[in-house]
Amino acid sequence: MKIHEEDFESELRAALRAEAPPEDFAAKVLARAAALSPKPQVIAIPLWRKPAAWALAAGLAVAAVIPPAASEYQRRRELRALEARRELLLALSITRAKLRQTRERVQKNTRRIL
Amino acid sequence: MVFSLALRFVRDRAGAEELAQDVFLQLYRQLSRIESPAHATWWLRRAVCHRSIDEVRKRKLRPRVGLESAPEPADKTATPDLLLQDRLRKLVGLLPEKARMVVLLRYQEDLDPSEIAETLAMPVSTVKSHLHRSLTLLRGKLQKQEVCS
Repeated sequence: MKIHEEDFESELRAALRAEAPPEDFAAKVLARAAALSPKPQVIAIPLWRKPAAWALAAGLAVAAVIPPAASEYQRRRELRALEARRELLLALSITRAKLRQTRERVQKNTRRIL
Repeated sequence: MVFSLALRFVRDRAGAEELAQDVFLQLYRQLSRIESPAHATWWLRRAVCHRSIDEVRKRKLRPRVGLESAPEPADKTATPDLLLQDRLRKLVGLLPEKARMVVLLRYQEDLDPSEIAETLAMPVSTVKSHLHRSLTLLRGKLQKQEVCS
């Protein structure tokens, strides 16, 4: 079997062609990688360094501040309502007086014409 | 690429599979350092070359016989090309480690001498010299086998 010089390299390429790995190769690598992955570790973190603790503290602070603030807001609102009611009553009484004066004037003029 | 290079170099399917898995696991551990798919290919090729060479050196210290190294039963129906390719693979397996890896990267991975030089961290002239000597040696051994048979 004589190989020509120019064919030698192509024969070598054919002989050394890439070979596919076994079908379960990727699955085996993934399984080994999964086994390597570090398991979640329980580390003791001081309470003051936990975000949840900060959230809880903030919540508690808000809860402590909001009720007095809310009651103050309610008191002011009631005062404003009372003031508005007083102003409305005053306006109504002024209107009633004006209407009475107008009616009296109209009646007076009507009598004079008649 | 990874499995195939390991298989052709260590010439033992089980050993090559284990070696290729180790290379991929090593990549997995260093994934944060990989910048692009091309970088990953380059990294994998380099890692498998070095690990294969190390593996063969270790085996020289404690020889291990794989199924692939056992002679195959004669098959009269095989075409001459397949027989020739099988002989060539065996002859490539007999080359010295560095020369064998150079031949594999050239004729399996189709890398040019400068790429091989970069992968194996050796001068381009050394790569060319390995290629020239290996081809001469392979041709010579093949012709010698033909004369004997």
